[in-house]
Amino acid sequence: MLDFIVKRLLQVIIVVFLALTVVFFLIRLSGDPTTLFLPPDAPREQIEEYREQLGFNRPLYVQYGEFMINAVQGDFGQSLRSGEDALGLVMQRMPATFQLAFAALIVSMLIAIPLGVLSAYKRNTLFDRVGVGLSVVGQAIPNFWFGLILIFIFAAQLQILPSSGGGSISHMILPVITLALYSISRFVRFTRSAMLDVLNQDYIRTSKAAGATTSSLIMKYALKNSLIPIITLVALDLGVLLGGAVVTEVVFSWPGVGRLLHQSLLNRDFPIVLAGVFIIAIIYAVINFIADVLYAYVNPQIRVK
Amino acid sequence: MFKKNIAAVFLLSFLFLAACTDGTNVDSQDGGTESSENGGQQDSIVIGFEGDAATMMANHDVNYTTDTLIRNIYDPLIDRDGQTGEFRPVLAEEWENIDETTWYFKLKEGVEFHNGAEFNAESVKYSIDYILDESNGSYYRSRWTDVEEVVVVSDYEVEIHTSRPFPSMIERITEDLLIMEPGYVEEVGVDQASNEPVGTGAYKFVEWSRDNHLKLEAFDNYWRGEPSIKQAEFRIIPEFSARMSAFMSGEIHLFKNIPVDSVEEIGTDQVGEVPSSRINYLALSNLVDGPLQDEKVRKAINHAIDADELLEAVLNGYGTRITGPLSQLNSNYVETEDYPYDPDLAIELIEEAGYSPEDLTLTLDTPSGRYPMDSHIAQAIASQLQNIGIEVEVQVNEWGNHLEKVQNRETGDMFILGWGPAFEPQSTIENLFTQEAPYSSFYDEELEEKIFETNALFDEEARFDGYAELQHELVEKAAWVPLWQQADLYAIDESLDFTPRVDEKINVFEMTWE
Amino acid sequence: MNATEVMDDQINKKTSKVKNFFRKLSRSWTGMLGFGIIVLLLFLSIFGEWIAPYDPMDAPLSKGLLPPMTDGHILGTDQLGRDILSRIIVGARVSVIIGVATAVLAGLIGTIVGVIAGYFRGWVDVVLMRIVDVTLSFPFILLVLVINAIIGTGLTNIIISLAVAGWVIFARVIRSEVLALREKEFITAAIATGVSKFEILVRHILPNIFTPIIILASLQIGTYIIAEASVSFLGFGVQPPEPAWGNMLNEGKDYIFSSWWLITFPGIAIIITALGVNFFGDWLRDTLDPDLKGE
Repeated sequence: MLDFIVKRLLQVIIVVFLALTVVFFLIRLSGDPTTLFLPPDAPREQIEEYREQLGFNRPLYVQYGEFMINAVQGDFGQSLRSGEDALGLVMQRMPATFQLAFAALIVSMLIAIPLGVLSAYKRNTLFDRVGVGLSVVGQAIPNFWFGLILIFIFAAQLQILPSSGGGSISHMILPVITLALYSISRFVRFTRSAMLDVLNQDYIRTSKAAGATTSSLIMKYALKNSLIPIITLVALDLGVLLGGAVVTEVVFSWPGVGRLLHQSLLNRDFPIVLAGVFIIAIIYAVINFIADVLYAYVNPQIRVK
Repeated sequence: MFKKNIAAVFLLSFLFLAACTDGTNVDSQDGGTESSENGGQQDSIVIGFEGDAATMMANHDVNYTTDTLIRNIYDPLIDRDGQTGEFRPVLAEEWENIDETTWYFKLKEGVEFHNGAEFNAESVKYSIDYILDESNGSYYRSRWTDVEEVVVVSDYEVEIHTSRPFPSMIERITEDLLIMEPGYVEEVGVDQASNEPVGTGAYKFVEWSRDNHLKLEAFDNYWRGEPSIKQAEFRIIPEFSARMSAFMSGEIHLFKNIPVDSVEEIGTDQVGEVPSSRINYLALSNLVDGPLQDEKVRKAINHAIDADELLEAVLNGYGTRITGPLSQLNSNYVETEDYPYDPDLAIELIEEAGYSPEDLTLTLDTPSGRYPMDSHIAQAIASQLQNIGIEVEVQVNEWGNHLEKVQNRETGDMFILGWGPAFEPQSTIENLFTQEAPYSSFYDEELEEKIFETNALFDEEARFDGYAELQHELVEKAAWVPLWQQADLYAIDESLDFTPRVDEKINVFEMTWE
Repeated sequence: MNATEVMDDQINKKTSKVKNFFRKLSRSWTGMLGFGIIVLLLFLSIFGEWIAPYDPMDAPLSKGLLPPMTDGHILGTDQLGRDILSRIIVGARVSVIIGVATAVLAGLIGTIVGVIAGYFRGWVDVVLMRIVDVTLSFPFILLVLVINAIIGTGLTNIIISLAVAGWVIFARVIRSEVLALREKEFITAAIATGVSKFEILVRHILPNIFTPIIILASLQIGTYIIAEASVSFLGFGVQPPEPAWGNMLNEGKDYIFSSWWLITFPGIAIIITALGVNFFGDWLRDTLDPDLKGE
């Protein structure tokens, strides 16, 4: 087990390193953003001077080497616009994004798992079909559009919920629902099929034949056994939620990492983009790592492979 | 066993969530949800703003969002009259141009910084030196390089020496310079000063949550008197729809930049309008090969575009037509001839130039969302030119790409751009119509010579006449298609007293509740 | 058997294949619906310009923001007076091009990588799969956004961005398919009889991974269409005036308070399309290869 964990951790490091390398070169090849930060009437020699100061006129490999050496020490340089530590700016926004993603995760579990279980229990009834149908539609809805529609209905027309900004619980309702939509749809389908898998197993059939009621079986065995794959999916979905958060944060002016990244892409504030990529790659890799370990713990054959 | 684990996961998540919300929950109590109905009682305000400041450090980031926010904390030496745009003394009582390279400023006495320190000549010197010191990386430095030295004459007098004549000194002081407290910055360092600013402004810094809100409270010892609004919060809401719904529900009391089509929705009694000094124009590039190098074709395009209709139909009339390179807010404005809308004459001119309109295929670059209705204007212009047979390909760019294209001269034959704030002639004309400057892509050798001659003039009258002549010539040569001054539209809570300013600043000190 | 008979025979075989396809399809109403939507989309993307009631680019300013069902504009007009129905119809082409071109490009890259990794194994496999891991270590939409912001907007660039972010799924699935195939008896037998590696690849492996590629591609197209719309909504992606559903939503979002129809209908068009493609893809998988793991 320890071997497996060490091996996977090493992979995480390689993954993050490669991700940074790729993004670094992509960004540097796309031109330099110096003029975006200067007043429009800055004379040409001035632009050159700033370029030099920001280090954009040095050979690429020098820039890359320096970047990597600093990055290893957690220094991604300063924001081009404000001159502050880029990683610090990203870290400041993390709590808001996590808050949104965790809330969406919890909401989708609370809604989706009971629905999925019920669907499986009432298999092929109207309830099941409607539930599955809705979850299919839910996966086809772009979440920014869903967010706009929610703003239109609840903030603009009914004026009962705020549409923007961080703050109280009421500020969270619309963005959380928007973000949770996709996960709810996925979880319902997944829970349902995981439950059905278990319900079809021999020992359940046997107990059923022996007279146990379906609902007691669900509580006793099926739920217990199907929860393992469900939890794994949930863990993995935190990453999907973090990705979806970019769009949701923009729609609802939520002060998280996603919006910072979007803004920095628009401003070409590349140190922030790199720091953001770093953090997200790490989180993603760690989530995957945990899911893998969890899986391996539950299912020892994987380790042998 | 698994049940236990799951319960733990749930519990942890909830705790985490609770921890995240707790802190912020309290904030929204003190202002946000209060509606404006309690009128006279109210002494706090929430302002919706489209972008956050990059830093709380003065004299660093040239972006308008930064400047607007921190001007509530820092004072300038000179500012502008909110309606006429004329210079007005603030921390400087008077100023004088001693000779071509020396400027003298007499400062106000008895002004106090938020931390109790006294405002004096040293703070002015420190603030300018901050810009000039390369290691600070201030983006303002590019416009201040001609400043050689700031000399403290006495506690309340400074002189600025320049290496070259610097006729736009007062403009620079007004637009760029905000006064910082030297002792404070030295003591806490730039990093902390960038996050917890100290100035002499009407409001003291309370809390800044990036991309979320900036909270300020009234500075009771403010030299102009106690501000009437005690608590001010800028809430950062980039999406218009979100800003609008926050306003409709009374969560915010003021915001800027209403799209013209939403004015009705807000109700005209809650909309404040002011002509901005920012002008929007259609640049006709004569630096790239093409028919637009021919003056006749440029004139034809001026005749073929009905700017009045565009203003009426696309902008619902929100804007003020301009006919030359400068707006009426500009200190050097003279009236110039207009090219009347005349499609037949346009066709005639194109034929005279040896083309037929059907031969012409022009490309038009436009940003999207930078200026009011910009990409829509571009598409409407294309449609007007197509009416006389000119084929126009509109290329809509994301703002960063657009600016890059303009600066690298990679745009098509025409592009849409705005310029401002533009209160004085030099920065506009020099930066738009010389070979080095990319923002209009128009260049004429003779004209450029004249521009440089005029810039160097120090005699007020000669200078005025020089720019007047330049304006006429630029129109005569059809250097571009002048469109309009933007109208800045503000949504203002009906019981809030605020008159929008021509320079786009949002100073809470100037607001009161009725 | 003369030449015509051979041809007839081929045609018969083809018709029976087609018949077989429809017979299977008719058993699933979701598959039918999905297929119908796809046919409609293809039809619109080819003939849209002739079907559209108005010129989608024509902007009579005085007729801006008409609500649905006024003046012959069934879905209303946008801020410039352009007919929304016409723009949605013509905009179908952009979605189809993006969905199909990305699937082809991503499928091609992914298949090549997957086959090489799965068939040759060794260090090549290790390196390639690490690259796959790197790419998969990002949320898809975020990766597309970052790439697109860096390489620039426009139709070609958004397709490239989507493909660069999307090929890894193909690579991973195809690799495991190839790995499984290698263990199959007919391949081990071929190896044992000394058939060359290349011949095995072309004659035995490639034909057998064709089905999973098609299934996977059809399952991914919906994702691509939604991702494009999201990126365009954020101000990158396909730029106006080219009518595309994503940028219609971006242009319309500021009118949400006064003119709900600007964002409602393009959104519905995206949902119907994604739904159709997903239905069809699901059906294809269930019919051809139920064990394939697409997601």
